[in-house]
Amino acid sequence: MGTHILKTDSVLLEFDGRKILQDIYIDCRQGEVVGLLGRNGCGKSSLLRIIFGSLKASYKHISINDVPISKGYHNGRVAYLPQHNYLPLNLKISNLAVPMIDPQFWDEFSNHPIYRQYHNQKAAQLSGGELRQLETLMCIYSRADFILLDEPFTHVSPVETEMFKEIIRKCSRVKGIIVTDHQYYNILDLADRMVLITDGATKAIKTPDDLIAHGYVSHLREV
Amino acid sequence: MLWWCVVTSLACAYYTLPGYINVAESYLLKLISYGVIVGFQYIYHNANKTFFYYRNAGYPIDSLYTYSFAADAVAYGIIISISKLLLHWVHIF
Repeated sequence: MGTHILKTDSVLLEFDGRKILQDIYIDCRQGEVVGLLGRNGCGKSSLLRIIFGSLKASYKHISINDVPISKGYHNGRVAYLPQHNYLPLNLKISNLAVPMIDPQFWDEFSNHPIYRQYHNQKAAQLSGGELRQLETLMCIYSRADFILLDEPFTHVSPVETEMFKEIIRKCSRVKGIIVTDHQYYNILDLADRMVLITDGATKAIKTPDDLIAHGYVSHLREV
Repeated sequence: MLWWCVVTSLACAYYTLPGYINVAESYLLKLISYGVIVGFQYIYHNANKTFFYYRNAGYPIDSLYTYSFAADAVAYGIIISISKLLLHWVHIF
């Protein structure tokens, strides 16, 4: 099986006549992690939702291997971790996990402590933090070829952040992953390359100093 | 959605079995009830949040609605047929 490539080009998104996204190009190959950075309200989440297919843009061109796709989630090609909880609360976790998890990662996922502890319970029985951890893991281990992670490190402890980063690195060997988060130092650490959204347009980030040049940060945090 | 379908089926049966409305009219009411529940889920934020799970799991939302409503309509048809048959027998004997 060859390496698939997801390309998103010429996205135009307007709210009330205000252009949010207008000059967008981002691509992602299986085998890499692409970091997506940008200030609050710049359109990062909107861009991910447009790629996934849950938000309609005025114009967009999205393709996998140069074959246009209308919605990323069709045929399970793209999975998306939204910022909010997304699991149906009244269903048993094992019943929710089986259709979603990639069989090649099933043993790893099912041996994870959060799944082992709660697989026989309903999602409603988990605490907010546990539910978020489970939802993030289910998305990273999902069957899709491309995974979009919207703020996976927000409200997550440092130990869990390191664990997620390790799992993302492992899964990115066979999947393409686009990840966005305000903890830019985690994105710098994790991503193979980075893209910044500023003024509705994407800018390729060659070095971390470019983030300063584009006004995203005033100085880089020592890690 | 399951409870909504059950309640609307019972309501339709309540008016259909004594003959206040015919079966075709009761199906029209069922159709309207499907529109109401789809509209409610579209507007109700907590319901459409879970759409992300079904999409991630590879279940198209349109198909889920179609299969659910088709199953409900068939179940309603069977219940109405059996009930009408039973009422007919009770009337005869």
